[in-house]
Amino acid sequence: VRFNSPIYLAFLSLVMLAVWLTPARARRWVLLGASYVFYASWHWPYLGLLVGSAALNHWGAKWIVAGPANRKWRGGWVLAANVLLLAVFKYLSWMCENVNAVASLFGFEQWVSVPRWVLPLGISFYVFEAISYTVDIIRKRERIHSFWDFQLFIALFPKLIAGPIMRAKELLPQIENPAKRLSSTSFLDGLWLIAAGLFLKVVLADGIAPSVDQAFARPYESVGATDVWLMAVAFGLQIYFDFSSYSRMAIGSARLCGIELVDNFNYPYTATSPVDFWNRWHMSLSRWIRDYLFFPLLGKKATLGAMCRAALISMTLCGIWHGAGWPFLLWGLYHGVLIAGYHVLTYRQRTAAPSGAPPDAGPRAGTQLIAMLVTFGLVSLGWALFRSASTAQALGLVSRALMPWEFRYRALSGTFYMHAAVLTLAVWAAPLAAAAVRRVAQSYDSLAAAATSWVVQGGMIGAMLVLCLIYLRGQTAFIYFQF
Amino acid sequence: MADPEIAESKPFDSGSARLIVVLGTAILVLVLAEWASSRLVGEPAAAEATRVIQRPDNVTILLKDPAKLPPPKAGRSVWLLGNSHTYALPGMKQGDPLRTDEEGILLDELASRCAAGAGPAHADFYLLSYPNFLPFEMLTRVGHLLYHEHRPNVVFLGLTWRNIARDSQLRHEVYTAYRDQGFADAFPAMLADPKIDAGDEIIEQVRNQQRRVAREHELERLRSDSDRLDEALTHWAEEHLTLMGKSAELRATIFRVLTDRVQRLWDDRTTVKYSYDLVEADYAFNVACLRTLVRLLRQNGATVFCYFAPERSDLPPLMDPRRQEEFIATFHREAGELGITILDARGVVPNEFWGWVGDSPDRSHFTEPGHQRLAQFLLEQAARQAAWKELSEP
Repeated sequence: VRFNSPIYLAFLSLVMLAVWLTPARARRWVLLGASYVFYASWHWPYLGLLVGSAALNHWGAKWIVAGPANRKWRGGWVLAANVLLLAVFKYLSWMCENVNAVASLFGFEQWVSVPRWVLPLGISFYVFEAISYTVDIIRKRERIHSFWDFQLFIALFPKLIAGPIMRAKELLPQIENPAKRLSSTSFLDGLWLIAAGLFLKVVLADGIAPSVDQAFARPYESVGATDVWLMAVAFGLQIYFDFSSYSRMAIGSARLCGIELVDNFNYPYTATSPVDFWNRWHMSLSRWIRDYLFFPLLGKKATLGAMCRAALISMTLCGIWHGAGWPFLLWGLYHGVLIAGYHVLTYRQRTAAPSGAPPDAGPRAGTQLIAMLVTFGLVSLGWALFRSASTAQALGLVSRALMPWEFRYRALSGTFYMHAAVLTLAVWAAPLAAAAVRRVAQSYDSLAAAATSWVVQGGMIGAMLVLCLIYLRGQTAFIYFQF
Repeated sequence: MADPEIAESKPFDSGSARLIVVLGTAILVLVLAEWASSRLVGEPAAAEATRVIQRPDNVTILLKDPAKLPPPKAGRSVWLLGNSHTYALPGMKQGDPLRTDEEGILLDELASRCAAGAGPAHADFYLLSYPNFLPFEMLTRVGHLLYHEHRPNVVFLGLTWRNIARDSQLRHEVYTAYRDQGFADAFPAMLADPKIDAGDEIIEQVRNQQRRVAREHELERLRSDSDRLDEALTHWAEEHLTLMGKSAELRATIFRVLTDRVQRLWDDRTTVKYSYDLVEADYAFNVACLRTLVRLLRQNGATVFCYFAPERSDLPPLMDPRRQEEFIATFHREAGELGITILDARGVVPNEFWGWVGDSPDRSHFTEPGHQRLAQFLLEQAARQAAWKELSEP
């Protein structure tokens, strides 16, 4: 199930070939079969869980629609079943461990036994898709689809393990009315996305991962403040390359099979505020949190207090969604505080602007740059919380990063600093480079110029694949697989 | 990263033409890269491939892979522990690479001089310096050897300040010793022995490695059939593609070229590559490991000589040197209690016996004559301390 493995690339090639050779109407069966094989190849008993979860939501939706008077009440039961599924498989062990920890304070050792089952891959993602569908059914924004189309909506292999989290209205129409012909443009776009994604994962994310792992394995007392900032920035880069590469490969794989998935990243480290960051980072999750948590929590009156409360609750839940552990909860809370703080700082400015007033010229470049750097620093510090193995390490690292006297020494190597600095500059320069490439691509007006750009694109795909072959070492999992 | 959106629709933008050009170019690049890499890191020339250093039977370099540990010999043995100054030789002129596993390293000198009468002629000589001397790593290696009934009579332990004061990592090759279940179970008890008295921190570090092995087993348990198929496919690709089969060499080449270039942009001085600050927690842990290591060796009957390894005096220090003298003085004070002999060999190899590593003057390795001087110094000191007496030689 790893996209960065030869077996996946072989599997994808076979599926793509089958999809391209199959008539449009039958394509869904090829994709559904491939998705089931893909999931079963990891741990076949959990295929039942996946199919069962999709079936439960399909029949649940029918049950909700069948009783218009009890729509909310019935919907509540279906939603509760989804939350229960997630709670049992993802959080029960952690909850039991915490119960035992508290019980041990009162002299009860191992008060409850801790279940040690395997976390079903992708459960957080497919349960969120199912919840969004059920809520849309309750809100009468979605209709009942065929059982097998809904199964494919939940199980579609490119996005099954780690998203992007799709909405029914985005994916089901593509399943129900597939394009008659698959274009060479979508093939090349898919190929480009897969090559770029592989490069980001194998060369950049896995390249910096050993240094990050080694640094976070050290006792936190042994690193200086500069080191903590380096570790936080480096892990921020690693997880960005890792997850955005997965998303690219997912989108690329789907495109090869004639399916469009939503984008997940938009240069998040160039964000100029915490809210802007979340509009650019894991966008499919952000909009899920916004639409199904933040807005319902906000209610009809968007007062400052309500906004702060909604931000704190929804971001804390977003944190715990990432994993069963206190560091994730702290990370979510931290982002909730950042967003609430941002609302507090900008509330007056936003409410003072008369409605219908023409937009002003916007902040100057210098202000934008400062805002970007501050946001980058704040977001990076959060990564130290996220990556920590324990609450003590999380708090220890963050407190060291903020103590002036801890800047006296550094423990990590100059090569690591250089590596992170080069990657950070590359990440900041990426949007400018992309814009320049776009300008050049739009300016060609002859076949020769177009052919040159095709050769450049082919050369880049080839070069990235060469580097991937050289740097493909061992089997490294994507970070987001564990969520 | 950037996605060049080259696929803007143009009147002449023929989809199939684009497909052919892009795919063709990508395949061409792959084929060219495969051809170039096979030329760059192809099979070694016949003369080079057959060149295997033949050392005498009593001279053994113990490889870093714990699984390749030879069976213990019944006779007397001398162990040499240290960082790369014990096993590598520098380039002879600027631009030359480091020479590893060559004849004329310290171990060869010690053995040949003993054979010539400067020490015990019938002892076995072991070098266990790979992959360098970091105290927790060496404690692990020595513990593993002792667990497997290897017993040294005399140990030379070469210390450098930067190995004591810098990080305390455990590299993968050494970590694999903890996959030896018997050793992993026995080692904490060995360390907790009141005569060894390793601190809680060291024992906890050992337990961390046990937990790491347990996690590995758990991952192994979770391995699916597709993982196994993937491994087989990867193995097949490694056998047929130089880009994958020789990827380690290619990565090393890329790293060397890149870091050299960036380093030159960063800092045009050729004398200093990196500088390290002392990290108090690492330093304290490393010193605790070193104490435990010598206690463990003493407890198992070895005569231990700790020497401060030769240093090059014409280069600025790589590591913050402010605590070095304090460390040396402390260790001198503790020598009696630990039952070891401390030797100061820092000035034994003059600057003219040091060479180059790539474009930089080498600060870690000295030439063959340097190794001869250090060997002579160590053997003389050992003879002065009557270390060979119990080996009944000479």
